[in-house]
This record gives sequence, structure tokens and C-alpha cells, in this order.
Amino acid sequence: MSEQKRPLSIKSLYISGVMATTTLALLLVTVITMMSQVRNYRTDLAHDMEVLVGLVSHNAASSIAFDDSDSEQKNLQSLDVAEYVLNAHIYRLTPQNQRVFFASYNRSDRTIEPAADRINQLRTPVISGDIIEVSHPVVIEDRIVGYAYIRGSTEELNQLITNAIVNCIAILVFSLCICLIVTLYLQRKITKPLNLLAEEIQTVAQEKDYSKRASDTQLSELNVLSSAFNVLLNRIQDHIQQQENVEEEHRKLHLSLEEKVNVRTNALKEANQELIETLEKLHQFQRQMVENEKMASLGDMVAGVAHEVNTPIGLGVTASTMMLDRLKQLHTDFDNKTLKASALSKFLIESEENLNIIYRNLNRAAELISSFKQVAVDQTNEMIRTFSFEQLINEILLSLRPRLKKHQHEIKLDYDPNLIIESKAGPINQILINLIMNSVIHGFEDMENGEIQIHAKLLGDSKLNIIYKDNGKGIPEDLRKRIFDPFVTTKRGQGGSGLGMHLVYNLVTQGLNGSISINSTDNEGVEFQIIFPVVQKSAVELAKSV
Amino acid sequence: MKQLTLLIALSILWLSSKAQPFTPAQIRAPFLYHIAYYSTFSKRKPVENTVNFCFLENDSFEHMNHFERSPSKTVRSKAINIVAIRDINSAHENRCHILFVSKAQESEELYQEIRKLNTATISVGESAEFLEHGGLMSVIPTNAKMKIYINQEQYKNTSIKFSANLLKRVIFR
Repeated sequence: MSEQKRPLSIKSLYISGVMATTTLALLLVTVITMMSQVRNYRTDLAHDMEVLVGLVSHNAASSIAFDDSDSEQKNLQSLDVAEYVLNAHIYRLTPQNQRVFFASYNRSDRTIEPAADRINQLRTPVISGDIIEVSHPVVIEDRIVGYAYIRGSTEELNQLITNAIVNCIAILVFSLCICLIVTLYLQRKITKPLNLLAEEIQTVAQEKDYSKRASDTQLSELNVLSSAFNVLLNRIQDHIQQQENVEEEHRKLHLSLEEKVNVRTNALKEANQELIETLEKLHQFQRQMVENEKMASLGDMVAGVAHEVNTPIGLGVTASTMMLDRLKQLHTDFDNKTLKASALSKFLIESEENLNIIYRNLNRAAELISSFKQVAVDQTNEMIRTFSFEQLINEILLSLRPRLKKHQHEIKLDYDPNLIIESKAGPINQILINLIMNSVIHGFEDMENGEIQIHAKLLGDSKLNIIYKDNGKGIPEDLRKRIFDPFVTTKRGQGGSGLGMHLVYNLVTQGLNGSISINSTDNEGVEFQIIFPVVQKSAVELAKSV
Repeated sequence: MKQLTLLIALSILWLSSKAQPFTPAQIRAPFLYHIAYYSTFSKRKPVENTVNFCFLENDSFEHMNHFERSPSKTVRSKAINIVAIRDINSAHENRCHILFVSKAQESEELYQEIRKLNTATISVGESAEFLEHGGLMSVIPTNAKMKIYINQEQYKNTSIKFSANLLKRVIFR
């Protein structure tokens, strides 16, 4: 976890920065100056020693030349004035190149061992400890005849260096003190207005009084800052004012909006209630319309039934009327005793014929009524029963015969005549009647020789697939998409309710729990495929169920 | 302790120097070179590029032989020319800068001629008589040291300049 850095103080930063820089600079200057001074002292001392040994060697040349060591000894005594010279030796070079002691000077009898062996190493000044040593050859006409050796003290040099260090340190301390005073003075000059500005900013921040303004200081840079801060305060004030205005406006708008929302909500609630009621009415109307459609279908069937039953009944009535006429004639002849055997025989024959006629027609009427009764029961009942598919088709076609016989349309049937299934016959009945009547009314609108194909086959043992086709004018695409929606009709105002296909869809999907699909092309007819679950049954089972 | 060591060393050096004594000729011969080295001769015509060292000695030419062995072959960048002469008159002919006269070659005739030579030649003898009879300089052993004596009168007359390094070591007579 990283430690949070402490904020830096300008005061401490300024003082430490200036003092550190000054100290470093002064130290550097002092050290460089001292080093340079020490080097100069050493160089000067070495140079002085070299000059001195050069003079001594030069003066010693004639002494050696004339073998005058006494004079040289006196000469060397003159070195007594050079306090830093401790010892001076002159060595003479023998023809065998041996360095022989010739003359010497020793300050305060500070004699030393001969340095003849080290002469060559001391050709340049050598400083070791407090001692500096140097030698120089004594030359006559480019020939070395001896050597001069001087040993000096560096105490004076060391004293000079010590004095220089002390002086430098004193100057350094004095300079640092002056620098510290100046730094403190400047720091106050800088930090005082800074602190003042900071306090003003803090006051503004704490009190949130943006009407205050930062005052000018003696520092132009801070004045720029305070001016910028004042500009910022102006903008904040403007911004706050604008924000307050906007908030006020927003508040007003909010209140207005709330009122509007309440009004609209109430209006919507009312409209919604109206819509709910309307929808309920519509549903009621739809249910009523569907019921009406069913009843209309039933009425059509009743009309057909009446029409079909009318013929055998009429024949029966005619035959019975004729029988009554013949019987009345017979009764009159019998009363008048004019009855003849031939007439009786004729009456018997005619009576038998008429009774046969009456019987057949009544029987036919009974069959028709029985059949229609089943159809009627089926149409109003969704009970599952076992039935012959062919018989169901025949009953449907029989019920539709009065309408179909007005046209020359042909209905082709394709299914197994022994197909016996257990299902809801009523919905199937109504589905096929609606499809056939749609083909007759809409598909074959301008046709006299339409063709309807009804194919039925089992899909496996549990589903029946009915394909209904006609070769009518088909259904346009826009209508095809919503053909199963309620109240969709092309005959509005001409007797069409628009509920027929909606009824078919509901009967297939809800009554039979199946599915229906449509495939149609303009002027090429329409095809419906209906698939719904059934249970295949046998003829024995059909007989048992009846 | 250091003082004792130095004393012993100096004693050894002194004894060693005593153990190998040099002949006066051996010591004097280098003196001739150094006398010439610390002297400035007046310019003579024609200008000479040599410093002529003339030796008037007996047949052994002892000083000349020692001088010849000296390692120095020039004087102030001028070549050393060593000339053995048989009589004082030859000194003029050989334009001698330094003329060494051995005691055996001293004579009245030489004394007469030597005064004339001193104006441009440093005549060096090895006896006090030579100095007394007009010689410019004599190198005479005194107390185991060679001392240089100059005839003050002849010194005044000569055109040759002697260096202070030389003059502070000579004894004027």
C-alpha cells in the first residue's frame, strides 16, 4: 500500500531549495577555489624550490670547478634567509661518476642523511608529509659535474592551506547566513500574499459566498492568479444564477407537466375505460356474430332440410290425398252399392301403390330428418364420437345440395371410403361447409363450372390430413395474410360478415386442436391444409358406438 | 643518531679521497679548462671558432696529457684546440687563449715575452716566480688545495674579462 505523499510547503520548499542550491554552489566554489589555491601554493612552492635549486646549482658550478668547497659552504649559508629551506647539499661527480659530498647547509643543525642515492628521483619536486625535496644537476658546458639538493619544509604551505580553508569556511558560513536572511525575507514576500490569497479562496470555498473577490497583492504573478480566480468566481456566480433560473423554469415546467400528465392520465383512463368497454362490446358483438354465423349456418341447413324433406312429404301428401279421394269414391260406391269388384281391385292396387309411395317417401323423409338431425346435433355439439368420414361428407353435401344445385360446380372426393375415425364431427362439418360455401360464393363468383377437391388421409394413426382445393379466383396476397382475422370480407354490405374463415380457424385450432394453412395464387384457386388429431377406428367399433 | 651517521659518512668520504691522492698536474689541468670557461676573451681578428690551449712543458707534457683526458671538448660551445709548443714565440703563432708554462720552461726570455702575451692570452704558471716575473696567473698547491693567484698589475693590463665566479676564488698578488 503506497503511503500518501505529504503536501509540500512553498515556504519550506523555497528555503530548502534556495539554501540547498546556495550551499551546494558555495561548497563547490569553495572546494574548487581551495583545491585551486592549494594546487597553486604547491606549484608555487615547487617552482620556488626549482628556481632556488637551479640558482644553487648554478652557483655551485664554479665551486665544483675549482674544488672550492669552502666558498660553496659559505654560499650555501645565504639560504638562511629562506626560512622554508631546511637542508641544502652539493654533490660533486667524480670521474668515476660517483656522487661525492661537496658542501651542505643545515638549518639549526638539522642534519640529514645524504640524498645522493635519490638525486635522480628528485629531479622534479617531491612532497612527502611536511617535506619537499628537489635536486638539480650542476652543469658546466653541458656536462654534469655535480648535483644540488635542497630539502624544504611545507609547514608554511600547510599553514597557508589551513588559513585558506578557515577563510573559505568563514566566508561560506557568512554567505549562507546572508543567503538565509535574504531567503527568509523573499520567502515572506512571496508566501504572505500567497497565504492571503489561499485564505480568501478557503473562505469562498467554506462559506460558498461567490460574491467575494480576491484582493490584489504586491506580486504580479499572484495578481494574475487572483484575477483569474475572480473571473472564475464571476463565471460561477453567473452559472449559479443561470442554474437557479433553469431550476425555477424546470420546477414550473415540472408542475405544469404534472398537471398536464394528470389531465392526460385522467383522459387516458377515461379513454381506456371507454376502450375496455368498447372492446368488451366488440367481443360480445363478435361472439354474437359468431353465434349468428353458426345460427345462419344452421338456418341454411334447416332450409336445405326443409327443401329435401318437402319432396317426399309432398309426394306422401299427394299419394295420401289421392288415397283419400279413391277411398272417398270407394266409400260412396259402397254406400250406393255401386261398388264393383274391378273398382275395388283397382282401389286396392292403387292404394297399395299409394301406400308404397307414402311409405317410401315417409321413410325417405325420416332418413333425411335423421340425417339432418345428426348434422344439427353435430353442428351444435362438439362431442367426440366415432363416425364414417364418407358418411359425414355425404351428409354435408346433402345439406348443401339446395345451394349447390343452382350451379354446375363439381366436387371431387378422394379418401378411403372405409375411413372411420373418432373425433369431433361438428367442427369438421362446419369447417367444410364454410370452405365449400366460400368457394361457391367468393372463389367461383363469376364461374359456373368450378371444381372442388377434398382429399383426406391419415398421417400415421393419430392425425388426419384434409386438403381442400378449388380452382377459383384465389385470394389476393394482402387478404391472404389476414384471412383468418375476424370481420375480413370482400363482401361487406353484400351479406358477408367476415367471420367465416375466422370461425374455421377457431374450429380447427380450438375445436379440433389442429392447424390450418393456406396456399393461394391469384386466379389459380386456393388450397387449405388442415391437420388435426384423430383416433382411427374400425367398422365394428363404429357399429358399437351407434 | 642521524648526525652520527652523517659524520661517519663524511669521514668515509674524506678517507676515501685521501686514499687516492692526485698529482698536482692532474688537479691543475682541469683548472685550466675552468679558467678559460669563466673568462671572456676579447674578440680577435680573424674570428676564431676554437679556444686554443697551449702547453709549454717539458717533453712529457704531463699537464697536456691530463688535459686531453678531460671529457670536456668545448668551451662555451667553441671547440678546444690543444697545442704543444716548444718555445714562447710559438705562442703568438698559435694564437693561444690559454698558455700553460711549466716551471721547467720558465726563463728570463720567457718572462720578457710573457708580459706581451698577457694582453690577449691567459698565461698560467705553476710557481710563484712565474707570477712575480710577469705571468698573469699561477695555480699553486696550498694546504692540499690548488690556489689561483693573479698578478694584479698584469690583470689591469689584460683585455680579458674574468667571471666573478673565478675572481672570488683567486688571490691577487
